[in-house]
Amino acid sequence: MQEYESVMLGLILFLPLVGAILNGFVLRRVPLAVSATVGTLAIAVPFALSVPLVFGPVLESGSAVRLALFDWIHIATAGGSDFRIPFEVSVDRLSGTLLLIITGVGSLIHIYASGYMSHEKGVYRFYSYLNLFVFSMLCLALGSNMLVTFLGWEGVGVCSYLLIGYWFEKEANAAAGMKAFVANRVGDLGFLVAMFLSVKLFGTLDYASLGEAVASLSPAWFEQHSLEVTLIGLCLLLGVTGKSAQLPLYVWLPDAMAGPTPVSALIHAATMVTAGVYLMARMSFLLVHSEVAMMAIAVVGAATALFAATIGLVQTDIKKVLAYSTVSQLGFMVLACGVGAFQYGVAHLMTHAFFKALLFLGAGSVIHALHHEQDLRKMGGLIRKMPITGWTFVIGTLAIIGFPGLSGFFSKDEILYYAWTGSYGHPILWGVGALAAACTSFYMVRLTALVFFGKSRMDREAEAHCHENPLNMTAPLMILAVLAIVGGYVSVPHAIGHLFGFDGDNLITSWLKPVLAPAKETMLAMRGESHGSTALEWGLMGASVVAMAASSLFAIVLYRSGPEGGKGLANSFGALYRLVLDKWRVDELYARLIYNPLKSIADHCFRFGDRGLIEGFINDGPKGVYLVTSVISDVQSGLLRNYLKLVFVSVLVLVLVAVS
Amino acid sequence: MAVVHEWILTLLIFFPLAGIVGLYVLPASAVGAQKAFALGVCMVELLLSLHLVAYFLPGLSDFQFAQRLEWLPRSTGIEYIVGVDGMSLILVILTTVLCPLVVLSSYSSITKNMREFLALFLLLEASMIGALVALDLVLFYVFWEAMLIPMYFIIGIWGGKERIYATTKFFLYTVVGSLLMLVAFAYLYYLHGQIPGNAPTTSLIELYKTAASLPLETQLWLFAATAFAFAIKVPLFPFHTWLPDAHVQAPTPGSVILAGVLLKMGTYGLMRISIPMFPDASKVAAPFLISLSIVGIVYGALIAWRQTDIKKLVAYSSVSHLGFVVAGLFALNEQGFNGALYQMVNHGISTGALFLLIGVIYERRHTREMSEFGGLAKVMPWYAVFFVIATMGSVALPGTGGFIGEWLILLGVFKADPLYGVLAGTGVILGAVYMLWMALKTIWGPITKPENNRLQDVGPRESFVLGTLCVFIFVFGFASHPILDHAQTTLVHLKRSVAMGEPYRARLVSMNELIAEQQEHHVASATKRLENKRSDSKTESEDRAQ
Repeated sequence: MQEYESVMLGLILFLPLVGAILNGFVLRRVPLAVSATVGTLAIAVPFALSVPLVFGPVLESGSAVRLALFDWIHIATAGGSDFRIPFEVSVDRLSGTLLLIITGVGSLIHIYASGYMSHEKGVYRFYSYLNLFVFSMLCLALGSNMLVTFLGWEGVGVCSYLLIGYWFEKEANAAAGMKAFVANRVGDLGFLVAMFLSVKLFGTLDYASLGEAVASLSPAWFEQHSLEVTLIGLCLLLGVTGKSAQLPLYVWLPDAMAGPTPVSALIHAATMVTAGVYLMARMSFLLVHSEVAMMAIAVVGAATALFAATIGLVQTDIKKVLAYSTVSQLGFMVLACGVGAFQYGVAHLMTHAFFKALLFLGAGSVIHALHHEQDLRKMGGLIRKMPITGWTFVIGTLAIIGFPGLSGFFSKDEILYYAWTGSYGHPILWGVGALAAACTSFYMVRLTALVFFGKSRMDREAEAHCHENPLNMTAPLMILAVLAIVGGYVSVPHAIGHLFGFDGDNLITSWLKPVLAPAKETMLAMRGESHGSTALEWGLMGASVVAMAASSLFAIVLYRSGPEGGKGLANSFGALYRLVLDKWRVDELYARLIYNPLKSIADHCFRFGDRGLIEGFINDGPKGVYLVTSVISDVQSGLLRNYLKLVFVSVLVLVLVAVS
Repeated sequence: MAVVHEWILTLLIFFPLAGIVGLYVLPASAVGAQKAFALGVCMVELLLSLHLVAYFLPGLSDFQFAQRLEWLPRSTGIEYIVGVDGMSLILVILTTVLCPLVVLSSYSSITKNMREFLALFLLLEASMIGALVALDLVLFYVFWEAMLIPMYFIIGIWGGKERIYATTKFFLYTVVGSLLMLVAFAYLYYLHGQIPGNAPTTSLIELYKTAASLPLETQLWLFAATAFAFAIKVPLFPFHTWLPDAHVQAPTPGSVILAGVLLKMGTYGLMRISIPMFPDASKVAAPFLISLSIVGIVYGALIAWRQTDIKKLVAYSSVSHLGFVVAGLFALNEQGFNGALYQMVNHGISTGALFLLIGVIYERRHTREMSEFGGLAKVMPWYAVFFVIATMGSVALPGTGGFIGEWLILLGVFKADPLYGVLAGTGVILGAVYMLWMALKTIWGPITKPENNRLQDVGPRESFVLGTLCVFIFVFGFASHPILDHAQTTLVHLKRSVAMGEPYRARLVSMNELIAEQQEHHVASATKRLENKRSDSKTESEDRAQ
């Protein structure tokens, strides 16, 4: 039995890699249908295998199914002990959740891409990258130690780099890919340092052993090592801000929209960017030991949620609105982790994967139908032309704004409730979150209104060509729409559950209990019981529903007849509006503070350092010595010999100076 | 087989020299035959070197396949001693694997005086192997300087426009360093002779003992002199300015072998001579050398980023990468040593691949200016595949060999001092900046120059060479044991002797004796087992009797 599960896990992990190799190296001259079929099967078969694995052994045992492949790094030490890092993957309930999302949503997007990319040449490259991405993402989620996770963590970064720059003939696209990779690398340094600290403190990178080590240590030990533990938390947070596009490293994600839309849906909405949330849930047992780190996480999450939402309010590019929305929603997930409600971070990760993939694919469907038109101002009334895309998009919108009964309502509501009452919660965090949620309703309703309702603003030719897309694109939309409706029932709030006579933990809480229990116990011991009540829960829920309804209605009123409706309001804000429109000019700020100074330092290093100082010393130093020696000694014949001697003497002087 | 065990290292040194004779036996006009012959010599050399892998005992830190012959008059104490341990074995194999690939790459990049080039190249291979396996300081010095001569001519004859300046600079820099090293060796030889009861010797194994017991101040001076020579070769900041010139002017095969093996001679020297000979001085100097390395990592990376000549960019990236290696060495712990050795191999592979890639487009366009390229992925799709893989190997992406090396180094440095670890870690970010910048300007973006529209994608020979290196990039990203298993006993031994401040102790073991010993041991244990069995059955029968 054990063996059978290991084989399944091996197949799940490596089939996407096989797909990537087949598509990338073998199937370079085949028609799209072949590339797409191979690419999709490489993800769909693992999904089919994952379902029985996760709902079978993983559900029943509550523990992990492991597969140890080989020793990745193994060195002996002088102390006689071995330093060993195995290449091992495992599925427990947390990684199982991710596994199902990655392969499930991944399969749908692979199917969709066969329609979206139908006019492209050389699609083998696209499917190869996409399969490779899924393989890396599976390493990230399934790795049973931090180093395997890091393999996936950087692997998804490379695939993202390649896919953002998929249409590399436009330099801006390739540059966006580079920006994403470099911003992520800044975060990765945080991950690296967190690993080094873990090795130093606990001597292991294995999550299970880390968990045991942390559990066995006394509170006094943590007090003594509070600095290191906090640093681990903050370094992980730095990693999260890179991969999950949080302040201050989020700047790459909006640019990443240069990639094909299925990529935006899979990588930059549903899976890769949520890796940070996964990592925090995975490391929750350690993070909760540092109050500073937890608070920093909560603050970063809340601030990002609001900050990105404000930019989303004014964007005019359909994908950019969704990109900032993604940054904002990731902020909610990070906020959830920061206040100690890790399970709702994961719940929102899942519901967001459904509705944001749906929204991106819907946007892609529109873009495909309009021949790569992405400007909101040139759309309108599309629901009549593209009913399936339109109505599924409406469902996605209702889900993300938290319309009662749809998935976003449940998961976001729980996050906001815990932002107030969680172990590290605070009313201010709730306030910021609620404001961000209100902004979400506004920009999403604005987006939907401008694209699908009102009068058409397309030019005549585009309008004539515009039609609903074929089934391989609309079927994934419909499936995701169903998931976007029902996905939230895993995290039904306690108050509502109570109403229906259900008082236990909701699904997601009991599902993730084996993974998150140590963190919960620690928080209980450190921070005491959370101070929520059913009345407060109803109150906060009511407040967010009212805010959602009000800002949605406001958006409908403003934009019912086209983009001009918002002009008056925008003009009344003047400078502030322009600042937000310019995305708070953060890119410009970074250019001025980091990029340009670094560039000029580099130039100075080359000109003054290498060419001036060092070369000058080497080339002219001997000349000086030569001048002196030539006075007292006969000039020798043979230039090279002299030169040699003089260089020798001058370097000797250099060494003397350096040593003394 | 016994003869082979004894003579294998000497054979490895002298076989390429015999190959030179062979080259000149062939008719001067038969360039094709000369090329094939040189390749054949390198392939046989590679096969011969596999004998070492097959019979090397990874559990021993001693020098294996050792051979000791008389060379100069016995009274001088200068002998011919060769042997390999974990660290030299790995680098010998790196050399023998890279050499055939370099010969293959020279087929199209060397357009004149092919025979002379191949002869010099074989001389270079012989001297590199010699320097790696020599265990006598004078012998080491001879090979060390012998490496210079062929490289001097390779850059000077087959190089670019400013080849004479570059090769003179390369020669002077290295010679200056090695002269100091020679002074240090001579002084050490003298000191050794001063100790009563000591016969004069230049044997490394004997001098390890003498050197480590010197007072700290003397150790420091001698350490500085040797480390200086090696630091120039590495090259460590601020002694690196010869490298960009040499790389840019060298022909493609010259650049590949320079980056692939010659630079590692510097780090190898630090590992073989500076650190084990002067353990106390190493500990004192470590913070200073790590600091220089970190400056080199950041400084090299920043300058690389701002280069417009693509070859210069990769040359400066070597300054940055070798900074990691030296930092790892002077972390003076297991992770640092293992990481440094691992990174030496992987830098050789990925940077070698990068220089080959530059060679490919240089042969087609005769320029190295990045602004002359752009959008190559469209016309040369396979080229782009190799380019991206080599780039990712160079930025140490997990899954490539560079990652394991860099990660172990950073971990080692972090263990030595967390602040140094973090500072060196910034190189991880900057590495991505300059490498991806290069990719952006070379293979991505639109085709801006009409000449590039007609470029030929890589041919079968180029694909074979690049493909082999790319496979190695991934293989070492996952399978670290071929390198680490062979090296770690030696490296643990090194770490222990440095930590204790004790002389580095290693024996010369001949494989024949070792095998005989083992067989004896085997027979002994077999007899023992037999005896045990007998006594067991005895007790059993006694039991039964009772």
